[in-house]
Amino acid sequence: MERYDVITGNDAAAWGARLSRVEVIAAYPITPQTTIVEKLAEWVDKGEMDARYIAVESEHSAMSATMGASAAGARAFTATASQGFLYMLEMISWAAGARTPIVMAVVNRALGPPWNIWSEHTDALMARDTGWIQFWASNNQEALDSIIQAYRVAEDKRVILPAMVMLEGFVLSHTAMPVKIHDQSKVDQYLPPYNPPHYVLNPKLSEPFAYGNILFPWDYVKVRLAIQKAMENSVDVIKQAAREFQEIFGIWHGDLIKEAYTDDAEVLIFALGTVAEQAEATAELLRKDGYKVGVVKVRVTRPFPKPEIAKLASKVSHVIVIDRDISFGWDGILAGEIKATLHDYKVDTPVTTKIMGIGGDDILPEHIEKAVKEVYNK
Amino acid sequence: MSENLSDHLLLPISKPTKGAGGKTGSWRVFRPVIIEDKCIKCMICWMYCPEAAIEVKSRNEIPRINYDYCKGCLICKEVCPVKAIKSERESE
Amino acid sequence: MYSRNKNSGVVSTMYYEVIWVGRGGQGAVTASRILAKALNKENIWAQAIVFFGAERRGAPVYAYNRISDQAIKYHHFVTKADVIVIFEPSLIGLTNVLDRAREKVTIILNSAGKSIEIDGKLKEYQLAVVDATSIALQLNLRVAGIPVINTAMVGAFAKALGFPSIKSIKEVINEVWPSKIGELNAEAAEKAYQETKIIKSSMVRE
Repeated sequence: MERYDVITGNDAAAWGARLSRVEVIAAYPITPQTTIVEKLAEWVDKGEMDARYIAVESEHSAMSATMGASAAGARAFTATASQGFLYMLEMISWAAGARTPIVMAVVNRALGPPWNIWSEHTDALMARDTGWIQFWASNNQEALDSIIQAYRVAEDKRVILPAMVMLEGFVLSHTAMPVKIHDQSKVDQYLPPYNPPHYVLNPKLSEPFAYGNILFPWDYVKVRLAIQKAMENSVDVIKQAAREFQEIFGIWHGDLIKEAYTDDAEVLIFALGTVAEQAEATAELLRKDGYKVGVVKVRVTRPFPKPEIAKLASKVSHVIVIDRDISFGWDGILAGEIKATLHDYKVDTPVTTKIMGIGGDDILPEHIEKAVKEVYNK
Repeated sequence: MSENLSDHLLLPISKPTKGAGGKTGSWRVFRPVIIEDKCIKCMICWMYCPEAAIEVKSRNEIPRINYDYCKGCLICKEVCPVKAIKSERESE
Repeated sequence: MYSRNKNSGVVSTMYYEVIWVGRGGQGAVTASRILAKALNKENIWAQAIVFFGAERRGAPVYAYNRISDQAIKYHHFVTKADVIVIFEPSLIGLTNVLDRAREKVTIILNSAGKSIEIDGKLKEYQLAVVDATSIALQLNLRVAGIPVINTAMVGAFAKALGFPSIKSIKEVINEVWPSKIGELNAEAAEKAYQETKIIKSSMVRE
């Protein structure tokens, strides 16, 4: 039954997996992700979820087991963060190549050393080039809803790629706020059971077969090109999934992007996750003082919404990108992507990068205000 | 073999099959030969052959080397506990 | 009641920021979540934020709430509070929590009430005092020897602020712990609600 409860981002992510009727979960605990898989383990143990929970000895094995389950035709889920994510990275890349439509929650956390358990986006952004679709949640409701949407997109026959849903460590993972927990029948209507167009391990076949054998360059090229095509197909699938989600559940989180106050904006702020919501709340304050600021939440970083971003940026006099991440020796990671996009589309709007909130450093409204005022005073 | 479902979903898969790499027996420089008088039918050569080119029909028969696929690595000769396998140079 | 109109667009008639300061093990985090859940029952939007670090049992810990009649998009820690809930008087001196008080602030303090020392620089404040430790001890509410006073402090919040209702708080407590522990904690909240004394801002020393 549909109800509102005040729950943490991690509980919301667990509800996303539960409502998606996930069949196999393989995971290894790591702060700040642990309570997602603890919750799922509890539900499986109590029989509230009809799923298998596989406790593995590492994140590398977690993704391997999840991939095996997905290849066998199950809807599979895992979750990780930070160091665990990096340890898993070899298998993350493999899961995309194996075309297993897994959904994984990534609870963003900074990388050590120095040891740090707080929020930063650098971990998941390191997997931009693996062939995973990447969603970023800006509140707990979006974390829950994005997991359901991610399965719709990942399992779509035009796509068949894994998807990760990011929620920030502590800022969302351990912060409780009201979340609508949807009616199961509505979710079932939105997300039909997984019906794979392929089985790597089909028990019905008389002889076994394997995926992942060596492929020579001339054939490998074709297989990798297919991933690129699937990623291109996913753009329309993501848009459709977001629209239909809105029709059934009445909630709009955006599709690849979400705009706020962009109609008459002179300056646009681009950001990921909660940083975008924080910027939106700050833009409301700034607008009272006459600063025409708009905010674009980049909800999906792969596929990257290039035409949408270029079009919005072309209409303003300045773009500010707030990055809760850094590519050392280059730029903010999102800023780099946006600058490349604008170059591609011959948009010459100046772009300012602001790196904030590294290692969980609190991003206050005044930090964002200062960035905007600097641009206006130029 | 590949399962080409469409241009965005290309899945190369491997199925077990005899001689997927062709008749690799032609790669051989030395040929292992079983000396039948010495063979004690322990089947250790069959166990060690990395190409599964030694065939065993029953426990009581002397194993047979399939020269269509034997690459001539001579591991069988090394592991034979009674030196019942010799090697011969392939004719040119 | 001090309303803040920080979230424009839709006019917000209600906006509170709350800081809870306790010691590790006293349950400040749970208190902030119980409050948010109770408010949710009354269709009031609330967020419960925690700062997790390498805290140990006994070290000062913080939890926060943002409360409004509409969804709040802020995600940072509460830097200025309308309500500060202090789990024992010694935390006033141990922390700088009173520096984070808004001009009009409600302070809710667990104290036996004999020597309440609120910092002299607070110009205008409302003080609510409850002896939550005695309530916890009477009900034998302890974890690892430490009296658990968090549910009582949520009851004190309801008395001091006038919302949410003590009924909603007790319902939430019984939902969170559907057992004898829940009943005892609900009783602690009720007792604290009854016993909390509101000391008006006439207490101001300046």
